[in-house]
Amino acid sequence: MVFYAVRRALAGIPTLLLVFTLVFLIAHATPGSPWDIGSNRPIEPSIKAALDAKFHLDEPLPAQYVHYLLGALRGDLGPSYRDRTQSVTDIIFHFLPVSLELGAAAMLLAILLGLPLGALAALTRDSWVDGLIRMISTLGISMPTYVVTSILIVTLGVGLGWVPTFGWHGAFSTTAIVPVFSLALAPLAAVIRYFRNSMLEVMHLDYVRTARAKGLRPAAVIIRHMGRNALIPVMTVAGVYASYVLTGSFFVESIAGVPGFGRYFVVAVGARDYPVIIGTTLVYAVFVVVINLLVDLSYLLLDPRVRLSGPA
Amino acid sequence: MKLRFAVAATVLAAALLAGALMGTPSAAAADTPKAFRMIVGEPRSLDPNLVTDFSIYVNAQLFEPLARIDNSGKLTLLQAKSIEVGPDGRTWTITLNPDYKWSNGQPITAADWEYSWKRIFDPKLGGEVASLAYDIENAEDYNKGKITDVNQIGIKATGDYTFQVVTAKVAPQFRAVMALTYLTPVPKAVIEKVGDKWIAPENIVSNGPYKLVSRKNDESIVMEANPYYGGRKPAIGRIEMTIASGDLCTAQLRAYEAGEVDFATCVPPQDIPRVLKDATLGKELTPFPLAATVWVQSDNSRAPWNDKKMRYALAFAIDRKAVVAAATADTGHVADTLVPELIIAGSSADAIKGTVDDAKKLLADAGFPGGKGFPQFTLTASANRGQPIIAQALQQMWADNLGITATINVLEENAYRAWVKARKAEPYDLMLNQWYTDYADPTNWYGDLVIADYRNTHFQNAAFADLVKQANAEPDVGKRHALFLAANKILEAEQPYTALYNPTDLWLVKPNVVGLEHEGVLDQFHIGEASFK
Repeated sequence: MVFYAVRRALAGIPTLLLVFTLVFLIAHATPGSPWDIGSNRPIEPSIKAALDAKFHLDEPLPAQYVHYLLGALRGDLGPSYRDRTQSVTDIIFHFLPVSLELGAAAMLLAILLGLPLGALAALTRDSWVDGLIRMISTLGISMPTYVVTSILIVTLGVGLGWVPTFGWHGAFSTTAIVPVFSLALAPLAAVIRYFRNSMLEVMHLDYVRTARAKGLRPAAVIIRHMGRNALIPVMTVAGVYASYVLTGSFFVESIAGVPGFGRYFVVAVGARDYPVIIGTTLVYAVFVVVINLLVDLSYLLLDPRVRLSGPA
Repeated sequence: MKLRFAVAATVLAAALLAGALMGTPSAAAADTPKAFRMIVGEPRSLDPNLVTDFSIYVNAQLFEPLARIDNSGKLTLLQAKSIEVGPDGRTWTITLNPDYKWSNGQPITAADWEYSWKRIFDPKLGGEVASLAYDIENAEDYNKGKITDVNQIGIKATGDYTFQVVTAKVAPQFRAVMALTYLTPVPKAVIEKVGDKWIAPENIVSNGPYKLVSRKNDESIVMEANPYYGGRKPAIGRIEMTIASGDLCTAQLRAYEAGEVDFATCVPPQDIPRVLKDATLGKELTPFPLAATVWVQSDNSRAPWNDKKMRYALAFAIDRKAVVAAATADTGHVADTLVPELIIAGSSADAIKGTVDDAKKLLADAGFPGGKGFPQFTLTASANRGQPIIAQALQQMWADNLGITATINVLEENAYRAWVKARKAEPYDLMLNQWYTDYADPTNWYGDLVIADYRNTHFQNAAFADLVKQANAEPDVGKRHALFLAANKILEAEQPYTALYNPTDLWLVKPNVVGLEHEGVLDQFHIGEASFK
C-alpha cells in the first residue's frame, strides 16, 4: 500500500507540470497586463518598462517560464503584482485557511445529510419520500451556486434579516449560513444520488442475501454490509467535490463576501496578477491530485475485494 | 469505532449548527452606533503616492492634502496655512499649519512634504500619480529617467514648515493640482526605516482625521480618530470597512437594505427603479451630478471617420435621452458637449445641432445614401459600468436612423484598458469611453484629456492646440476662461468626441447620519466631517 501510494504521488508530478505550463501560457496570452488595473490614467511607458524589468516581465516568455519554474521548485512563488508588499506564499497562507474552513463545513454538512437521505430514498424506493428526496437532489445539481447564494441572501438576509448579507466571521457565525449551505448543496445532491443508486445496486447482491440469511438485524445489514460497500462510488464523487469545495468557490465567496481563496483567484485574474494566478492554480491542482490519491486509498479500506487484489 | 465516529460527527454537526445560530449577531442593537460601517473595494495600496483608483476612498479618510477645491474652483485650506504664488507665476510658497501632526504625535514637517512629492516621481516606485503633477519643474524628466538627480525637481523645503514648488512654466492650474487628493505627505522617517511595509497596520502613520487600526487583506479595514489631527476632531470615532470584490454596488445595496451598513456609494442600474419607488429607500437616496462624461469616439485619423460629415451624422442619429434612460434609469444627465458644465469653461451652448434627417443627408453627402455601401465597422466597449447597454442602444439608433450596422465588441475591463492604450498605434472604428475629472480645472479636460490624447482619438487641430496653450499660460482667470471657451467651440465643431451623458452618483445614507458631503471632484466623501444624529 505504501508502495502504491508513493507511485501514485510521483505520477502527480507530470500532472502538476502540465497544469503549471498551461496556466502560465494562458495567463500570459490573456489581453491586458498587471499594470492596466489603474482606472483612468494610462501608465507612462518608462514606468511600465521599469516595472516590467523589476518583475522580469521584459524577458522573453521562455526565460520567464524557466525563471518562475525554478522559483516554484524552491517553494518561491514570487511576489504579487497587485499588492506589492505581499508574496504569493503569504497570500496562499492568508486566504486558503478561510476556504478550507468554509469547505470543510460544507462537505461535512453534505455528507452528514446526504448519506441518511440517500439511504432513506433507496429503502423507500418509488414512494413519495423517495420522490421528494430525489427532487431536492435534482434541484441541488441543476441550480448554479451563484443563483442559490443570491436567492439565500435576498430572502434570508435582506428579506427576513436572519443572516448577514455579506462578510465572514468564521464557520461558527451567522455569516457562515449562506455560503456553507450554498456550497454544500451540489455535493449534497451528488452524495444523495450516488448513495441511493449504489444502495439499490448492492441491495440484491449475494453477500447481502448471505448477511440476511445469517439472521443479522436489518439495521446491521444496511449499515455494515450494504452501506459500507455502497460508499465506494460516493467516495469518488465526494472526493471530486471536496477538491472543488475546499479550495474555495469563485461564485459563493465573491457574492457572499467570504475573503477566501476562490474570491482571491477571481481578483487575481482581473488584475492579471500572473504569479498569484499560477500559484493558486497550482495549489488547486495539488489538492485534486492529493484528494484523488486519498480516494483511491480509501477504496482499500472500504472494499474487501479491492484489498484482496491490491498489493497490501 | 464506527459508533464513536457517528457520535463525533453528530457533535460536530450540532456544534456547527449551534454556532451558526448563536454566533455573532448581525446587527448589534445599540442606541448610539459605535462605528460608521460601509463596504468598499479592496484598495490596491494604502500608499497615497502610488494609486489613483478607488483606493482613494479609503486613503482620503487617512491622508489629507494641502487644501480642497470644489467644482467651482473654490479653495479651502486644510493642512496648509497659506499658498502663495510669486510674481513670476511659477514659484509657489506653501506654509504648513503646524497644528497638524502624524497619528503618532510627530510633527508633519516640510521635509515630509518634499519627500513625498519627490517620491511620486521616482520611476522605481511606478506610481500613477506622477503625470498629474508634471507641471513641476523637471518632474517629468526625472520620472521618465531623462535626469537622475532628484534635487533638480522643483520642490524644496525652505524651513520646518514652509516649502517651495517651482513649475516649469506659468501654470495657474497648479493651484487645483496642489489640492489633488493624491498629493498628501507620507512619513519620511517611517518609510526610510521599514520601506514598502510602511503601510502595514503596525507601521503606518497618517496625517488625516483617522488612523489605521487594523487591516485584513481583502477582508476588513478599521480606522479610529487620529488624536493628533489638527483639524476639527471627527464626531464619528470609528470606521469599519468590509471589503467586497466583484459587484460592489449589489453587495452594498443588499447590506444597506439589511441595515448592515450606514452608507452605500452606488445602486446597481437594474435596482434603480425599485429603489426610487421604495418609500424608505427613495427618501434615503440622493443623486449627485458628476463632473464626468461618457462619450462615443472614432478614430479621427482614418476613413470614413476622418470626414467631419460622418462624425456629425453619427452624432445627429443619437437620441441621448434614450441612452440616459437605458444606461442609468434616467438618473444621468444628457450631455451635448464633452466638457461638463460643472467644470468652469465648459459650455453646452457650443453643442452642434441637427436632426435625424440632417444625419441622413450628411451620410448621403459622404457617399453612402441610406447607408448603402457603408463599410463594416465595430463599436468597442468595456464590460463595465453599463457600457454594453449603451453600445446596444447606439447600434439600434444607427441601424434604424442611418441604415448602418455596427458590430459590438465588449471587452473585459482590464483587456479593454489594454486595448484602448494600444489604439495609440493601431487603427479602430468606434469606442465608448469616459473621463471623470481629476481636479476642478478645465486643464484636466482640454489639456490632460484632449491635447495629450489620452483616449487616442487622434484628433489634431492647430487652432485648438494654440488656444489651450495660451489658456494654460494665462494667469488672469477671466482671460483664461475665455480662451478655454474659444477652444471649446472648436472642439465641439470638430466633434472628435460625441458626448452622451454626465453620470450621476447615487448615494444611500441612513437617516441617522448627517453631514456626509459629496465632494464633486472624484466623488469623494469625508467621514470625519459627518456625525450620527
